[in-house]
Amino acid sequence: MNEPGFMQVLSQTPLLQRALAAGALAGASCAILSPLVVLRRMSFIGDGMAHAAFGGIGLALFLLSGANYDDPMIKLITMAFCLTLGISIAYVSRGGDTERLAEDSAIGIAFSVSMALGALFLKLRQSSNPQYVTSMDVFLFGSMLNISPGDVWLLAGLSVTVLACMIVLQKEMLFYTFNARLAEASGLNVGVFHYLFMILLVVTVVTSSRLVGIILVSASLVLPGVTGLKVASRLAPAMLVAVAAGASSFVFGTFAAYTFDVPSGSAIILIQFAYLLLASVLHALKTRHRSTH
Amino acid sequence: MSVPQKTPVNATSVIELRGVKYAYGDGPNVLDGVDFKVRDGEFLGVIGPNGGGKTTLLKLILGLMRPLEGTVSVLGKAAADLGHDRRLLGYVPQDVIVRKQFPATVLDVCLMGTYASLGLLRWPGATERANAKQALHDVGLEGLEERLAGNLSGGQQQRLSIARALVAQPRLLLLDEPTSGLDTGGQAQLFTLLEKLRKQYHLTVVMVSHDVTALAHYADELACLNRTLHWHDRSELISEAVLRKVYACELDAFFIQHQKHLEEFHGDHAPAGHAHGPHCSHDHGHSHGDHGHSHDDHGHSHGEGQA
Repeated sequence: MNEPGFMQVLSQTPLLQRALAAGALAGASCAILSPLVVLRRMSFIGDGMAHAAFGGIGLALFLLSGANYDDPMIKLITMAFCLTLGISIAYVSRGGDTERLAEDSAIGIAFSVSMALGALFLKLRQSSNPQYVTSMDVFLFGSMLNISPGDVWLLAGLSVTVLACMIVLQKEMLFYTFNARLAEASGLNVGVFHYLFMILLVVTVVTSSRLVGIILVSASLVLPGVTGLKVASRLAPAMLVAVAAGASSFVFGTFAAYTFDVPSGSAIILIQFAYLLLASVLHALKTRHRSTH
Repeated sequence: MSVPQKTPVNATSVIELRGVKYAYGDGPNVLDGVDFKVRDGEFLGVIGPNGGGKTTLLKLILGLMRPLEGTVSVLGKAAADLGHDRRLLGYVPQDVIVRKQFPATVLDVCLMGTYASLGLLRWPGATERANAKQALHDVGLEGLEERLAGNLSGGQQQRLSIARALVAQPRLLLLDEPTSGLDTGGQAQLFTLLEKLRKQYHLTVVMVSHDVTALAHYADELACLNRTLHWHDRSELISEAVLRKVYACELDAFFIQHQKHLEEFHGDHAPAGHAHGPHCSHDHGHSHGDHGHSHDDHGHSHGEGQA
């Protein structure tokens, strides 16, 4: 073999190690949430919130005219902006038949207005103070080559937090997703779960999309969840399958990108899709087996 | 009707509404000056047209909303401040259909009824599982515990919903249109089941429904709700004149149908068809709150002395 193999390069390249770890962790965090995102029909939210974050970045770059894209203050302002948006969406979409606006409409509005604001603020920043303004491609497609050890730790913390919340609140989230009004009538404080789920989603989307890009985040919030729900018939196993699918797709996708010289994003999403096809076949066989017995 | 202990006329009410008004946002009053009491062990049927405030009434009793005016007390407390006691209210909502691939078995869904009293970080144990299995047995779903809830039929899902409400060992069962979406046989089964459970667990039942025929047959008392509430004692139901007077509703079509069904009821206990609710088309003035009669007034059994 003329070129060094993937494992050899991996062992010698800390940057690749970090990219792989960050990808697997971002994939895992999104995937833990994905079965609930799918069941609550919030698939659009990954896309919506990630694009909405663009508004936050635009605003932050405009306000801190000397700062660059990787400045911690920029990250903080972006997160605060997105949390405000997420909580507002959760607020207007709360409350069954008395809800003020359907969740998907609320996200659609936040998404487009925020994109528009982001573009406007960026233009203003570019005209007034053009230094350090990164191309927005970085934001859309991520910047796997700029991942610092700190970013990996941040993502590890995020994954642990999301996982812990889902373990602690497993039965409440199940009941809330099953029927929110019923859960409330039975005495559960549904409001807490409604807002908490939105906050977890926003933090996961904003943190992950900066590193792996909006497109991979949206994919990882949906595909692994559908896969998990096809394979498993209970929520906890469905989450486990989703995490396995989400994290491994990033590892195998990166490997495929290196080995076959294909774009890593495409490889990752196609691997997630292959898992889904496999799960669908398994599901069909299982259903058939049951109906013949 | 089973009334295990004789209660004095002014016995503590399980539910008591006084001068209740409610409106959504700036809209017109959905409920206006509603007064009533439901005593321990009673079965109250609430009928009325769509938009008459039936579901709103249930939400107020459940404490999901506070009245704009007046008071709603349940088990001696304000409904909205029931806190932990809310588990004593078993709620069977209208939309119980579980999506096909929802990741929960029949037993899981039944166990959801225990979640609120378990609290955070405590999982259903042997006791809860035994209670859930008993509740599933009570509603005739034994043997289906490990099935996916979404794979049950409409009638079975309705019974699962009742089992989920029962597992929390409620004192009150509130049902919102439980017979909609069931065929005639399914409706009859549901009412028979409710009767059995009521006696077995000494439950107080409030049911909101369009199914006037069946409610008239099974409920101790009927109330017609169309913004205001009109009481009607079941034993008087047979008199068209009284019915007209009390409801002040356009009951002609309903009444003719009702007479016919009532006769069939007495024969085989099964509703022969689905009568639609009376069309209460105009404002009827004040409601007849606090209808002061004792349980003895309606201690009759089904199909007895109505003709």
